[in-house]
Amino acid sequence: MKTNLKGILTLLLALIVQFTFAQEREITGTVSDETGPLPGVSVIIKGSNTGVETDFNGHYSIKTKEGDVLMFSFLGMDKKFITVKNTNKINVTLTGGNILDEIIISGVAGGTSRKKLSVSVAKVSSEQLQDVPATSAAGALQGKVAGIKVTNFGQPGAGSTIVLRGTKNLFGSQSPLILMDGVIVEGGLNDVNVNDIESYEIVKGASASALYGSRAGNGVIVITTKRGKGLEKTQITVRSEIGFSSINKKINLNKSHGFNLASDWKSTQGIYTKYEGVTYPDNYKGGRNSDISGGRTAATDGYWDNPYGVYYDSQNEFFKTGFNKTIFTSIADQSDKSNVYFSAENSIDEGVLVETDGYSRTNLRINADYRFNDWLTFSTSNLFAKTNNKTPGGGGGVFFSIVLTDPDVNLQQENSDGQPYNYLPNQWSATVSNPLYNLWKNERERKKQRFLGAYNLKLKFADWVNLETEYSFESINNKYTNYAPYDSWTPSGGGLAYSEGSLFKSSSNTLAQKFQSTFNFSKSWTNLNIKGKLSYLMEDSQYEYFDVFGNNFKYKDLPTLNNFDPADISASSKIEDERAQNVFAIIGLDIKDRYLLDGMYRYDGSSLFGKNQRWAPYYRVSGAYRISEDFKIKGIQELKIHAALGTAGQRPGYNWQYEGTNVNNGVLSTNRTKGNPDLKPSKTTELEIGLNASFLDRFNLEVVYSKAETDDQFMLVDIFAPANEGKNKQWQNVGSVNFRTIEATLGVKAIETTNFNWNLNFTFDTSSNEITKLDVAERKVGPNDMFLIKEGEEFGSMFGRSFVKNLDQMSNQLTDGETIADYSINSDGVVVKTANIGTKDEAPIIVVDEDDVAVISKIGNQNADFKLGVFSNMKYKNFTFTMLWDYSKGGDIYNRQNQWLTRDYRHEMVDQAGKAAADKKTGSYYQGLYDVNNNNAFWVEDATYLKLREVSLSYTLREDVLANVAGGFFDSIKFSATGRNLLTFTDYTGWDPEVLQYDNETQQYFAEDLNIYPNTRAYNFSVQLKF
Amino acid sequence: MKNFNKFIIGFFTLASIVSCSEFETSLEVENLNAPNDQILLTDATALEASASGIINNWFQLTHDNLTVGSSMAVMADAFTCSWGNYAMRDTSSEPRTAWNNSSGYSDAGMTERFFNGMHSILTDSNNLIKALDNGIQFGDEGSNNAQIEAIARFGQAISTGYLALVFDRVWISDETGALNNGDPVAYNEAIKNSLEFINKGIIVADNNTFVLPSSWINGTNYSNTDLSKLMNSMGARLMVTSLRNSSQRDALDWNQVLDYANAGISIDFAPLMDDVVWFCDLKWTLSYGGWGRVDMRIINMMDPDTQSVFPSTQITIPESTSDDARLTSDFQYLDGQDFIPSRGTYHYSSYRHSRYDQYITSWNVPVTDYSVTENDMYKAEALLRTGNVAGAATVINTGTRTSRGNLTNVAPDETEVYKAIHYERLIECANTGMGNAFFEMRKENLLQKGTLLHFPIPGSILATIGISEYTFGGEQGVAGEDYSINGWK
Repeated sequence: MKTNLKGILTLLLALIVQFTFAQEREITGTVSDETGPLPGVSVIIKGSNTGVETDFNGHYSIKTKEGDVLMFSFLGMDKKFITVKNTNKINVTLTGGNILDEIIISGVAGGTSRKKLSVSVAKVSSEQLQDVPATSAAGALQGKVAGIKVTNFGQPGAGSTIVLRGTKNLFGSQSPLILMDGVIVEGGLNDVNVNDIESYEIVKGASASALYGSRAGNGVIVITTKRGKGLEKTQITVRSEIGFSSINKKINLNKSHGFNLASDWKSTQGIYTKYEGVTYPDNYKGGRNSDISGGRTAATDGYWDNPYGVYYDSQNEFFKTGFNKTIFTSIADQSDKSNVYFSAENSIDEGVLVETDGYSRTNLRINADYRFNDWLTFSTSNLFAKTNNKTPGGGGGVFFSIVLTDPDVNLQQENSDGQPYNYLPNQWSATVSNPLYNLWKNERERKKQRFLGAYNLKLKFADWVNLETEYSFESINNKYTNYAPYDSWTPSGGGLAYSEGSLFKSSSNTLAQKFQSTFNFSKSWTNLNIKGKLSYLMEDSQYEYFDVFGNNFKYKDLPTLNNFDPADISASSKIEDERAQNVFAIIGLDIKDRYLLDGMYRYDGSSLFGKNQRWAPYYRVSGAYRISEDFKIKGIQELKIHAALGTAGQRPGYNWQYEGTNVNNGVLSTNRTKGNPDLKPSKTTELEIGLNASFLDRFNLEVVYSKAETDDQFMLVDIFAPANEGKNKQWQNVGSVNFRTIEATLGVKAIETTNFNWNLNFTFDTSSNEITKLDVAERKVGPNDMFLIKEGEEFGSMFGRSFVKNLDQMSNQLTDGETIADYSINSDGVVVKTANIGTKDEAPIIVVDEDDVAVISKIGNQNADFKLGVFSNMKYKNFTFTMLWDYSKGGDIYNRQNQWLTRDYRHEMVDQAGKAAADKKTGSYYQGLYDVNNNNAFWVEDATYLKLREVSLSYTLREDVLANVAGGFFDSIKFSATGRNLLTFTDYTGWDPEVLQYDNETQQYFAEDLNIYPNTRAYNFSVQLKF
Repeated sequence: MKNFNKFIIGFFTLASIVSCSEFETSLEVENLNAPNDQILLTDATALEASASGIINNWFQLTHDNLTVGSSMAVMADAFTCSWGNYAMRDTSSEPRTAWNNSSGYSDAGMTERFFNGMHSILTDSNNLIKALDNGIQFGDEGSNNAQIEAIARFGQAISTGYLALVFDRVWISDETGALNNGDPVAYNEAIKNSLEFINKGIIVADNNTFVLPSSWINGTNYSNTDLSKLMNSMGARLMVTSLRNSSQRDALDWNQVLDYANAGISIDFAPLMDDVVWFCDLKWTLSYGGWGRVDMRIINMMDPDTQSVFPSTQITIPESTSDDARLTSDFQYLDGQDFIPSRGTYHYSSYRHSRYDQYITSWNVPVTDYSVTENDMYKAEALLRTGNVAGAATVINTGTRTSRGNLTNVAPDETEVYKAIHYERLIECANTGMGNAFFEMRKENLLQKGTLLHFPIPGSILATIGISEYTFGGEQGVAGEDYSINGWK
């Protein structure tokens, strides 16, 4: 029916076109930008001198004829060309253009153009998002905004971390507060589809984010989604994308061993490695076998240079090329009274692990605005997201197991019962199970459903005042299953047996609600504009969790909790309720369009603050001066300086204030936390100074310097159990950390012609911090307690032991009878005894103090020195070519994986095959380098990288070309090919230099590489239809 | 007026939405996930629940491989393992080195958990006594008061006592608060303190009648008499196993040990494992295929023809033979090696401990922490060291030496009796109570040279009270008091 109707309409339109061909007629319409009607827009018939301007309401009327091209232009906005067809009404929305004309709504007293902003708020507009089709809502920000660090996780659905202007907290999340259409996004951006996003506003510093109070110490990201505004007709968009992903590179590993080969080892070459001293059963094909007797004997020379009998590429067997696809559809419409936007998206990302399905997501959105009359408007935004994530069976340990696997191990061999992937595939490594078996056998699945809804009623009392009342909520239902079937192999006694299986199920529900009422004021006089808000905000976030674990199924293949002896079932649960009441007022003064002043005060009460510290104040004062309004400088279109001083905070975690003597399965825990009723929110005070300039008609520059201090830092402090009723930890406010950030953004309109446009955007930022005050003893945190929190140090500094690396150092720790002449620096750059080089006695030497105790000193710093992003966007006729380069200089990664690989002789450097005899080193020497899992400077690597983060080429068939296709049914068809992470230049030896390890205690991410799902490169192809 | 109407419309529309949902506004939120201190100190139900978990918490802390049990087993050369898990490689490598007491050490949590956990148990136990002193009644009209008091005293004893077994110093406390002005006392002083708790507990158990709920010691119904016996046995264990060297052994009041042992257990103290709340990691860590093996010193004790150190030039050695039937019932011969030779072939072994294979397969059987044999050996040693060699021999000959080992009776000879006691402790009591083999080797000056005799207070805990980090082992500490100087090897 729909098709028939379209056909009839097309026929009718064709007849009308024939009838009206070449007839001059009057075209009318409205020109607007994202904030509303735009007066003063120039509307000219291209190639003529005929033109008009839009009136105060953005309306225009011009006489033209079909086939003419109308050019809409406005200072600071991109020109738009529209060919006149068979319609008398053409509404146009202008976008982009001069960045200083963008309207900012976040963190300010009211919608303010960037040129009148007295704080620093970045914006990523819909145009930038359209040109580079990002895969995730967080990823869309990567490289586009200075002062934002987005680190991707390789695992499908795991998303990214976002940090604004460097780390600010010693303990607790560094993530910014995220608001989407007024909803506080509690569940992260992982499940939000980027195709729905209209724009981001990034409120980076505490001064700008002060308006958001006690949750905004890490900054704020405000996301606005599409609403169907500014359309001249119903717009349907269908976008389909497919792609492939794979790991960037494989890790090089040792291909040799250090054991004596049997004299007839070649007789089994291609099957297994035959060692001297081992008796193998007949027809042995590999794998752990109880009929094997004897053991391997170490080669007398100690070198790991003997060949294996057979070679497999375990990484090839473990990683695959993953497939991904996305189908997106949206319908948008606008009428006089309403506008509506509906979208549906389905996305699947297999990931790069074999036997693992990966991540799938379905999103449904409906946004609508309804204007009842001139004083009452209702708006609503609704997102439903459903995800299903199959995570690696066996957990993160499989990533280490796969590189730990000796190269002669056949992972594909069957188990004795016919199950694939021999559980213990290596006779010589009884503690390492087959990672492929774990991926195949162990099912781990997380199912999530999220609903984000916002309902806003706007009442206009007068031209200068309105009331916005909004209720919003996010509901998150999360279910996790970890299923090991009955016949899962496991160690048992001296051998293997079926585990009889286990089933873990957890379920959580979050209902986070927000109610806010805001009076908005806006009043203009000749030389004075005043905007203001007075707002009251309540929050209530309720969380409920439970899990049940059953062990030893009664019946096979019945993954239900009914299938256990009740004695084999355990359970736990948790409920949390976080509430807040906040009130704030803000006023912004705009004097003569050049003197801009802004002041705000907020008072937050939160149930998360300690009982004796329920309320906390926040404030901001800021000002800006538009110099170019008073002094006309040749070549400079806009010059503004601004400064702001403000405070924002972080709330403690739910249970930090409470006494924490947990009950597990009815028994009191022996790991206890002391309550703290005096626990305060941490408070970040920031001074921000900035400059904005628009010059030579093609450059836009923003430079910002930010100096901040976070006081009352949280820390889970070790306390002395004997003096604290058996409690060994307490959350306390412990000190202060200073932060400094310099960030710069330079936008360049390199070429701007009718057919060819080339825009470049450079971002630069550098951040550093220093722990200036610590009221408690220094504390080591993070993986292996490697990161030291100490007064005077930068948070993120790694501490550990070091090998002696120069002879001066060595001369300080000579023992009696030794001279420095006895030592030299070997080929790995560590000092060893010269006489021992190449022998089993060659050993690196630990730096020690005068008491012969190993010196623990700073060995690295995970914070990058600076970051640089370059975004290039070229448009030639209907082609668009974009590139995003991302450079991160400095910063370190602790390569724990390499350290542990060396422990097991699997690191590439242990391989002595092919080396000249004089250059060979023994296995025992490398054990010295391993340093028994101590944190050691030897394993710190430079994390510098340059990535071609995204490259995209698209071609758009526009309306004029498509006029004769399907009766002009299509407005546009866009074909795109996108590559992500195609090139990575780095000296880092792991899979990928973007490495972050989550630490439960501090709730922070640290740069230690172990058990990390690597980032991947991806090729995607998409087609987008608009009609 | 018109604006007022608008306001009313807006307010009530949104208010209706909000009122439909559960929107809580009070900032006072009660934490319903964990009992607070007030409850744990004053609520009789909560206090009784605390009492029910005391023995479980102690059992888990002493059988968890995340505390010190695994490393003690390999430091004692009772078991061997060159894998890095649970500090086994670090603490059993030869020559012995000092314990890494830095909070940054990857296995620092082993001693931290033990220290903090035992202090939690001590706190719970102190609180129970405090509650009784404050007049809180347990059960109908105080009918459960006695069992609460007995278990609390036992909790005070085993928490204080095990801190003293493991660390060089102990911060002692009781229901009145910190003792010794909050300063630590030496381990031997702490043992005296724990014995005082034991004695008080025994008096309560001996003068009242009760039956502990089966969950308190899972799968059992300990009567007051059973608990009294267990406390007596624990008294003997704490006295003997706390000895750091043979000089202390010779100075011990063995008559008191004998008194305790004579009044000790007649059935194994063996809670039923449920693999949820009750489980024993030490069993699988030290005997899973491919994991820990039995040190050759133990095999050599059963078969002197087998070398006590695995020959460095060999991979496979012949199966051992022994008059002791347990070599085949409790141990499994292996003709291959799992461990990496470069980590030291002294880790090699031709046997694994198979005695607890049923547990590490089914996970739901009783696991012995304290066997009757162990109590018998305290009795026998006490008799021996108080001059009753024949009596000691009788105890040994009527026990597992003959009933399970099928060995001939030991002659009433001082040396032979001592050897037989040492033998039973390491063969029959292998992998039962945490550290038993270590404590026996420590007492007899047999721990390898350089092996620590006790752990230092964890570095992270020292930092909280401003004490400089120190350690033991290698040559750190006082020779013969903090680390071994003349061991068997």
